[in-house]
Amino acid sequence: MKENAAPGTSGAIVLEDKYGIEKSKLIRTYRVRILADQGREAASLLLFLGDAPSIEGRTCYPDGKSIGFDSLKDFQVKSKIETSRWEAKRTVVIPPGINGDCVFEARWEEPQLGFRSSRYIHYLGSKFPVRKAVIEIAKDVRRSYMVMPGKGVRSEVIDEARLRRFVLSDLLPEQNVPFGLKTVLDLPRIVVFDRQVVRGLTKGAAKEQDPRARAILFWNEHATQDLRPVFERGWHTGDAYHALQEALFKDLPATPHARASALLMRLNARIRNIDQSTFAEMSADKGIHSYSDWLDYWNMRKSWNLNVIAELGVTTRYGMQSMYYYLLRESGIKPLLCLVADRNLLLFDYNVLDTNQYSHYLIGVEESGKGILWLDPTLRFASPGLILPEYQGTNAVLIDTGTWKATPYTVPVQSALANQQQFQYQVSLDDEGESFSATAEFSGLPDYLARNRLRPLDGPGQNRLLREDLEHASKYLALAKAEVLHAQDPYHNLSWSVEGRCEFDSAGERDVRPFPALPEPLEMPSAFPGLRSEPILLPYRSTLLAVSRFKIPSGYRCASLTPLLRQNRFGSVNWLAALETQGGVSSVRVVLRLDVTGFFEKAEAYDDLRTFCGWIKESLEKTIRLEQVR
Amino acid sequence: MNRLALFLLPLSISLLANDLRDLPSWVARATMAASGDPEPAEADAWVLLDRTEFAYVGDGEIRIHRYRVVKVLDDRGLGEASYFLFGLGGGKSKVRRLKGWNLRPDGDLTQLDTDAVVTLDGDLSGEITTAVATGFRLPRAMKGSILAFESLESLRHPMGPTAVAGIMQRHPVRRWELEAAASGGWFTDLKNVSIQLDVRHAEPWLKNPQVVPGRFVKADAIPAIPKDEGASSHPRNTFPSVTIRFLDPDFREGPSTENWDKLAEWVDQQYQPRFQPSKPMDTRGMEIREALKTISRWMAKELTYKQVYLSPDRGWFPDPGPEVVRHRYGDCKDLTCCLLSEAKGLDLEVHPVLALIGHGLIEEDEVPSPNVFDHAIGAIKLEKSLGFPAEIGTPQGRFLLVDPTSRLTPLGLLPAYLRDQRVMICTSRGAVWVRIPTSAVEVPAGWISLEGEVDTARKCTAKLRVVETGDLFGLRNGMLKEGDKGIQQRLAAVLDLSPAATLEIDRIGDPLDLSQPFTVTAKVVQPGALRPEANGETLVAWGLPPVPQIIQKVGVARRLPVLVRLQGRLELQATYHLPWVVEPLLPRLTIDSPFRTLNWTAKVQREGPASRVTLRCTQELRPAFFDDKAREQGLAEWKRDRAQVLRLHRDGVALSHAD
Repeated sequence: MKENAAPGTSGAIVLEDKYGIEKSKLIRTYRVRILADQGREAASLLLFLGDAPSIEGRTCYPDGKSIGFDSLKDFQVKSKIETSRWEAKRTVVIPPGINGDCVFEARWEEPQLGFRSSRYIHYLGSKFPVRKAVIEIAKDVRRSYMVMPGKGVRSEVIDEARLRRFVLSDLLPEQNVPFGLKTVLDLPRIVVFDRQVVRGLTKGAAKEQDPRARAILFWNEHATQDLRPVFERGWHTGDAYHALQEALFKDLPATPHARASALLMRLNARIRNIDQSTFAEMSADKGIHSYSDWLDYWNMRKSWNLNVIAELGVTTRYGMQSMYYYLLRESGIKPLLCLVADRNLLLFDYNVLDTNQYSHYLIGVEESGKGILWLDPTLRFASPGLILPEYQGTNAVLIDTGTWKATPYTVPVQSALANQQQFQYQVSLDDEGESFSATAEFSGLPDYLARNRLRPLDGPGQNRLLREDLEHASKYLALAKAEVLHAQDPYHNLSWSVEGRCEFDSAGERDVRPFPALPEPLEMPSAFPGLRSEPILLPYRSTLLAVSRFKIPSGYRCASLTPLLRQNRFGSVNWLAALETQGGVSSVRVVLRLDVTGFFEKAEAYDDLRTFCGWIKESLEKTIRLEQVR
Repeated sequence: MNRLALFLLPLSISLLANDLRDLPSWVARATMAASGDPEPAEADAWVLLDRTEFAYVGDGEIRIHRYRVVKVLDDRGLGEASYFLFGLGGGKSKVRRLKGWNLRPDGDLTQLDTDAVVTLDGDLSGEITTAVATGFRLPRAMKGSILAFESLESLRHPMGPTAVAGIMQRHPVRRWELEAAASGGWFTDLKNVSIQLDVRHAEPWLKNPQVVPGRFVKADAIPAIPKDEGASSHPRNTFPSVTIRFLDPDFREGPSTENWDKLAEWVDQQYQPRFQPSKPMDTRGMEIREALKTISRWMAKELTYKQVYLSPDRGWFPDPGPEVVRHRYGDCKDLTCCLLSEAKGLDLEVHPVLALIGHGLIEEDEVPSPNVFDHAIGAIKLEKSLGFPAEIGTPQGRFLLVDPTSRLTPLGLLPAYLRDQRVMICTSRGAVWVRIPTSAVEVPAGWISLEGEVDTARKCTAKLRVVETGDLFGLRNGMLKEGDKGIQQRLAAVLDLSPAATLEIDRIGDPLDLSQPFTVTAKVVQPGALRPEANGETLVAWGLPPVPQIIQKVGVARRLPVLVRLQGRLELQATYHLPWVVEPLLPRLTIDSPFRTLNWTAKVQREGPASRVTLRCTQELRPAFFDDKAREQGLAEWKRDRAQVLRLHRDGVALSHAD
């Protein structure tokens, strides 16, 4: 109780957070000094899995008094889920006596960390500063544990007869800032591996002393010894497959990129990816009623059995990957494989010899003078070349399936022009308000993300979702018509058209909104913290272009058409308006172009980010004042 | 209708009839009855039948038998395939039977029964209870599916055999039925049990409902609950509902709902034994007023609100005072029990008070029912006034009303959410109903002072001082829950700061010092605080009263009354020193609407080549109500008020360059 309650502190300091990892259980010890009201939540214990863990603890006050747990008054074991066949229970523990000036301590047992996954990362920090985190790992545990102290954290390793102890000191509180990436911060963490699925070092790599050379050997061994046998196995083909192949190969373009793109589009049109079904497909599903239905259910999941997939016309995303890979090879292309990891979960490190790092692979096709075109057959209705944001800019392993050689690689960050949103508005003003019609067309990620949202809906459902989305975003308008086009047609960009009216809510003079219901190109947080030490990552680069026209009604004139032209390292905002007169009728043409070109920047760029977001907000809210002519 | 349609109609009915053969007769009947009706427009699903039978079986237990048939009209109606019943758990409620059918338009029929039932933890966010949700989801529902459910549950509610059934739903209902009965058995004689059905707010929603007192309520063609209508009264005070009461003279474990007096007496009896002082503070030698304030201050510092119900009846019965002190947390009943326990320790007579705060208003003519309330406060009987505003004179004497759940309201005042609410003081001599007067309530108020310097690059650096009484800006709460970060977030919202602005907190008052308003001082820096326009400049609109939301969608007729319960005072004084000579575009504005009185002035004092702009705004919000007959007028008033506030935002901070 040396620390005093003082205003302005973070509310609590975790004095000790200890993980005792034993062969079949985890023993936790947790001690926290609560210094102010907002620190009370530091004593909130997680909901424990299973029956009551053997928990004991107490709350101590500065005057020396203390309150202990009571199993009747402070505990509850309840069913989380219960069916006729199984039941999952949880234990709820509500520490008594927590106020804004106390020490709370508890000790309990839990199942092993991440016991259900082959690779699991547990971060050691918390919302509050941690003075000491202790990880004790018994030497007879079945799984592999890696303690990573992270950047700027003092650590000490102590070897004892039956365990190894890691002591990490002075962990800073977690920040939760907009446009951040937790994985880049190198936070203190425990990484848990399942030994059975981790590739061990074979002779060559094990002997190598130089870390870089050892990594090269490791990934090459993984490519040749683990992946090659899978990708060059005896694929099950047959009549159905050959018929499909013949249809898909008919009149394929000659150049590799065009050929690969056409093949993927045709495959998507012929084989249904059951993980991304449409409304019509889901409605038509008959369910499992007979043995034959069961057989189909399992067969469509056998990604190596290309004949059955061709026969059923349905498979999973893994089946789509297999089928596309095999078809590419059959069409004379030796594809590249790119082993990638989701940057939100972990940053792939070529030098970490763990094959569980990657969770997905992209298929690449190289063309002389044009580079590599990346394709992802698991994404239905995505344009060829689209790379999901979670993989863009990350480190990865590139494998040439001609030679099965593995090399380090960085997944490209796609340009703003690859991800476009284009809008055309026609606004007309009358005495009571403004009517408008608008059309929109999308490409790249905005196209794919919108299609994904619309995919489970039928045509009227898509139209209604569009209408509700736009009306919800700006309550001042009502749409009379909303129509989505090409939501499930991969050969055309997704587009929509709407017609609606805006409420006229100015008094006297009129403010015209040139772009009713225009979406923000970046999802803005409600507040930006004052300071930031985390690097900045924008989701993806994009371009928004909107053009609007309206006639100035008689009796009014345009007050001002001040442009807004801004640019910094995160992108540019250009809002331009011009008065046009034709045949005695004056009209205004407004062009808005928002380019988000920034991607990954250091924390020092924070002021620029906020400024850029401010410009976007200003440009979307900008109106044109019409004054009455006196 | 053309000849082909005439030919196809009987064919489709006969196909439907074939498919319906495998369904229970009540499902088939409801479906066939609806087959000739046009489907309701703009609906995601259509409830063909919603029938509930309430049967009292004695000893406080009700059996609830539900029948529901729904037709899915579009993809959003697929949510109807889930059917869950929410119970108290812990042996107080039990689902005895649950069945479901999905008849698809292609004739495919799926039936689920008890094997498919899942029981889920029913805790809502922030609560820890014994509550459970029991049900299942019918697989492969599709557009056109007929979904049917039948369930039987038993309920022994801690507050006795009463229930409330709402009638209107998210989707239109073709046929709604409620029947009530008392069904005794070999060993249960229920002939003394009286059944009371009370229908409220039938008009204008139910067309010719059939009501037989004590037996049933039935209605047809019930519209869906209107969507997207802001500033409306609570559904409880708007839409039809039925209160079901079984008056069993032999039932002793729960309260009688024969009249409010009996209910109040029973509640008081439950609370009194739990009023046990534990004296966590030494109040010896203090006057009553000071002693009560000392206890209240201690509670505000030490205790927090938390709903932890480790047994099913804890949602209705408080923990004894010493247990609450030990826990350092509790819900409204517990915190009230804690304060009243200590007051009892000062030899004061104390009583629980039941109130409604989150679900509309208690109307004058409501029938006695414990379901009416959602909050507990306390009443301390005074022989003579202690000079607190929240003292209320009643036929049973003078009471000081206290609400310890509102941790940041000083003792002697009540929080704003209780203003004008009817509350029931529960005494051993019956119910004492009082309406909370405005004078007893702490009116939220805020004062914003800004002193800014704008440089030639149009960057503004301003000193900010915000003073808050009550919870107008939520600053005290923000400080208690999240510290500086909470203050930052709330001030960013109050000032409507642009992302480019920075806010540096300078000094923060003590949020638990309720003897004075809460004060925060800070520095605000905003690049581009002045936006150049063709004829002048537009200044940041920091601290202006927010523009009211649009409460009705354009082109959609209003169906609900207009009700606003907001209140509070706001005063803004902002002075900006500008390096140019400017003139205000809107030197003066007064808004006097049913919702507010607002006075605005903008003055400029010339200082050589520079000027000092002083903006002043005072606003007093007031509650307003426009009933069914006046709702269009209410809507028009709202639009006018909104247009004026918009004008303030547009022109109030517009400055023209003076020659």
